[in-house]
Amino acid sequence: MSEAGDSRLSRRAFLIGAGASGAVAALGLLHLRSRGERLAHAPAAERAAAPRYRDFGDVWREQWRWDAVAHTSHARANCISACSWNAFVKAGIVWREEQNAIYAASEPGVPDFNPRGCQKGACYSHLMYEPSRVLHPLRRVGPRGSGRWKRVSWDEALTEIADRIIDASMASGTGAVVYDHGTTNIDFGPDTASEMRLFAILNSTQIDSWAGVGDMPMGAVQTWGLYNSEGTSDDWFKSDYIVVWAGNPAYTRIPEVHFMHEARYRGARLVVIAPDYNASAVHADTWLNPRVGTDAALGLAMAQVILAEDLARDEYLREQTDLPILVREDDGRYLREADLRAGGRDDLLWFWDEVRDALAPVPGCQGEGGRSLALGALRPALGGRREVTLADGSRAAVRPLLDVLRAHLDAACTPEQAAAITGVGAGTIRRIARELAAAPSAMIVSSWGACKHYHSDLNQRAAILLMALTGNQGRSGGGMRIASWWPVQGFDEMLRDVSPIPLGLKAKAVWQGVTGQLGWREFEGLMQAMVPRRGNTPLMPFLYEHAGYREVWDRREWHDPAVPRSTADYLEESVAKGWIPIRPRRGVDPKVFLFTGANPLRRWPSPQTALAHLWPKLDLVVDVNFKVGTSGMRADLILPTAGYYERDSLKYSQAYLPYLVLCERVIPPLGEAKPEWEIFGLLARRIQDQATKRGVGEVEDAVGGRVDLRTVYERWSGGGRFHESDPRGALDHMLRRTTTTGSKGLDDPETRGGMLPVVEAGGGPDALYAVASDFSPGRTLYPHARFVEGKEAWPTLSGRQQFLIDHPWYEEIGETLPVFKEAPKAGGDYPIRLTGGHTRWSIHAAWRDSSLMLRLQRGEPAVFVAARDAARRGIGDGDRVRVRNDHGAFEAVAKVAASVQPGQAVIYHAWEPYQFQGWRGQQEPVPAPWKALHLAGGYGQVHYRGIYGAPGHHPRAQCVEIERVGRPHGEVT
Amino acid sequence: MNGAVLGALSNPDARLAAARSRAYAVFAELFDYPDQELCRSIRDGAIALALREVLAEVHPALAEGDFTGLAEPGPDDELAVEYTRLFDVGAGAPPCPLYEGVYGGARMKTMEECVRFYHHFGLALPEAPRELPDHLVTELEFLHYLAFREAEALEGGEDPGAWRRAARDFALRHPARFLGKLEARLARAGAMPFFRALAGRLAGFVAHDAARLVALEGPPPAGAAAAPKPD
Repeated sequence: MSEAGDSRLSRRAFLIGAGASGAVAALGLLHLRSRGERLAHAPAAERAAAPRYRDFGDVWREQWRWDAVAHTSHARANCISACSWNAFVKAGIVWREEQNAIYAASEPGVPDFNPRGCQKGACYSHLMYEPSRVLHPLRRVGPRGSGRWKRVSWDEALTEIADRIIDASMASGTGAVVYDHGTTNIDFGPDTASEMRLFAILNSTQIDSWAGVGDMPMGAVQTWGLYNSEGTSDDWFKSDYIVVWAGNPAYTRIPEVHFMHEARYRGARLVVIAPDYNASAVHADTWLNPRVGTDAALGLAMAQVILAEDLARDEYLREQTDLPILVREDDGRYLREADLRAGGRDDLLWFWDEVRDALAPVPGCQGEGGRSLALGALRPALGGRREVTLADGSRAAVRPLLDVLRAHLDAACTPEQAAAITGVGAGTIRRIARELAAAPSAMIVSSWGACKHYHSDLNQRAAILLMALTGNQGRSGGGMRIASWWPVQGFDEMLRDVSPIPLGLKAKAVWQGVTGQLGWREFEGLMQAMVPRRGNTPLMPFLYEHAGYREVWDRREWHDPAVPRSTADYLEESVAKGWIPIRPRRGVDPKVFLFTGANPLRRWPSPQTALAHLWPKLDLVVDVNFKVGTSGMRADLILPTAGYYERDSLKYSQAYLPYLVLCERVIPPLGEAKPEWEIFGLLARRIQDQATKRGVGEVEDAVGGRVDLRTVYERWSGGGRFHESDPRGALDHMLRRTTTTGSKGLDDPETRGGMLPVVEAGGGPDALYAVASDFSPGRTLYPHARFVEGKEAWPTLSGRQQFLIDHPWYEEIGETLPVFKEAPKAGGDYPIRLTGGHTRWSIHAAWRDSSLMLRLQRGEPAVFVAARDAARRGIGDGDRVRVRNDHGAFEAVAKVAASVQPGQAVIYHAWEPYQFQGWRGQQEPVPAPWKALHLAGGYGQVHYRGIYGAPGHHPRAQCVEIERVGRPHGEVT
Repeated sequence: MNGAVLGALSNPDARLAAARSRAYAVFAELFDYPDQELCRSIRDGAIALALREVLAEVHPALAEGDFTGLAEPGPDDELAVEYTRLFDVGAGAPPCPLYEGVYGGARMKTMEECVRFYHHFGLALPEAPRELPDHLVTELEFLHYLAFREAEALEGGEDPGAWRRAARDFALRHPARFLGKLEARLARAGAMPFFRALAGRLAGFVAHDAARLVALEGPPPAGAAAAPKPD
């Protein structure tokens, strides 16, 4: 019995039996305590006088002194930005927060980062005290979703989870245990490290949700072998021409967007390309509104103009792109050494060297060694048909890819053709293309929101082509900007320590790193080598195999009609060839599903499918969160986590800001909440204890290896180096291991400022910081300098930005070159394309029910309908409408919006299903078929890497009909 | 207990204050999460009896009517399950949160005033708070404390005015502001009779107590019963 429990029993005994004790009154305070004054009864002479009190005004007249004003942040808020805040603390409560605006400018003449912080961060103190907060471990006692719960002790909860994990592991291996952190719900501090360590030790199924949340820029991976392409956001200020494409930074990059606007004061032009007149478009010099999903047509037409009008930067093309590489006329593939010589390499490609008028191997291509793309004395031809003799003695015509590309664009991608597709005038397309090409530096900001269409990869390939043709990629103020991260070595080490990668491989990587031999290709090799050894599994194949989505995604009519085979066929081939893993392995059902901060039944496409098919397979569903969302309501156990201000952690570190932002505990956790560091340390300990007690030793892991459950905690604790009760010690350890910020610990004076300036970041290969630019304090950072300035080869087959992918699947599907394809009619043949985007008033679902944020919008799920579409359907502003297709439906209130293009409807991101009628949320009519092409592997840069490079979630542009069902709140017609 | 016990009291007003203090403590106990021991005490009628007795001691009218709902915790863990459904967790929020500020739209200001009251009278939340300052149980404990000190003062021949005025103002500005709304929400949520009966009894008791304190100390200054302004 706890002290509080004892006190309560004592109080209760008195209250029930007061008469018998002889006492008539006794103080029994459990939720209050003395501030130092006596509580015990004393004779009048010994008592101080009662506090002066005339009326309630007296309590307000007392000066309110803060107990502390402390720096902190929102470590697992799943927000791209990192902002330090001052939390104002009194009585164990954070009452408000203010921006900790002490960031320095990167260099003279460039604006600084201040103040940073949005309205969500400014009201977290409210959110964490809303009644959605969960304060006690809860166990379901009724059917799932019935809302019948009971508090349980941590001891009971952890024992149950440990036993279920052991049961599932004994029956089917740890693959039956599924862990999902929902990607960026992570931090880079001890909390995420704790849970990732545990599931890495178990080597259970670990959902790779990067693509699964629709954030995977496959077009970048296909072109560069990387997805990372961003620097510090103040580098935007240096751009002369900024194109925001398929994004809305006024909503989604609130602390960064001012740099774009400030750039306009030095003469930059801002172009926004979006079908709707969004909040970013209102700041633009030019707004282009192509039809939904036609961006590739627009981009390729601009490329056609640049090439046709000879506006491209040829020297850049020669060195940095595959456009000079020779392509065979007969099969459209690169000319390879294997074509020229028996036994030749399949990954050695060729130029035509104008200096020697002869074939020359491409420096930096995979088969050449792949280190440097420097041309030296070579001058690759950018045009011209030539014939070469093949290994069998026959002759083949070859051309530089640029010729092929020109012909391709001239045939199908002229501005007039694009105008018919996009609705943007041909003259406008030409004007923007010319402006872009003429700008000293131009950039396209097109981040994760631009990854959520079926053909997002084609859009991205077209956009990157524009940046390459104009020589902007790899330049300050230029290039395609997506995202990047600072390396946090202390965090990496916490994961690497327990990774199931064989020691030999780890040692090799360390050795290569130390000796400078760890190049991009070696790193790619390491990532590929990890795939069969780790329990990571991309979300979409997991859902396909285990969650009932097979029937949804096998519907051919919802896919690109040019795809000749079913998704099932492609998946079979991919799995058979070892290109993509599926965990748990086929034949093993998931049994335990534990998610941390994530909300899968809100986030996943077609959540009704998962609920119907996956949920019944699960013996235990555990939600680890500080508040309860839709998925938590369908769970079996809810474990309450500490709020963001109640933990010691480190915000994850997007490269926009050259600081790592600390998220320090400024108040103790409310109720029985605990930080994840402690929760998963305790769970590791309990698994070990229960396994020992039950006599369970080694079990099979998710990949067919062995894991000893009796040593789980031993390994989690690093042999005693870490303890679950000391997250601060772990954070300090991690910071001291982080050279990015100078290995400063928590006691360093600089750390006490709430943030640590980045002092060094090498641009070498890294899972997170693959930005390929060395950071220098005092300079803005821009991506890909090592390739463009340092002449390192890109990690692609060609060693260059690669626009031809002659993989057999790409040939089969017709996407060897960037092309425009109409978005498939996912959901059925309906006239309106449902789009979305992150909202200004929430970070995913976390603030969706915030009473303060709801005041700033309609206060309930709203779908934005174009005025013309609304009029045709008799829909008035504020009416209730049903949004439906062949797959599902939801109801919401209509906002008739002049900003929305006819044929488009917008529902902003992440309303909770429980906020809709019947809990049927906005994802119900979203089958979100994905491109089987993204299962491809075995080719240069085209392969899965364990954390990225997999099929994604494409919820945008689903086809729907919208119909009026009544006035708000009742009046049904 | 917190080491403060009053034995037999000679002053009838002190006895009344002691009864009021006990009544607030009983309500605080019953609005806290019910463990098995509490369920047994409810089931065997001890709680209903204790509450009836203490309310009768405060004023006979408060003890009138049917108390059977307060002796019906339901089978097994039903009371705990119902408590969790009503007060702990729900889609977005439980249907009947026990946080006053949720009902008035001025959450932080409400909490601030509670803390100001607690601090003014020498109290604070625990170092690691189990609940927030505007939680009903915290508020009831504060009224329990004020009444206890009032009894102590009366028995010692001291002026009880400060304690009484504080209780008057706090009751009117805090629990009295939202108990009616809580009752309505409990009805809408189809709460089990125990909690509906409990909320009804508490609302009646707080209203009676505040009225009596107004009669003794005079009405609060203009605006005293108004809600804190929104944040």
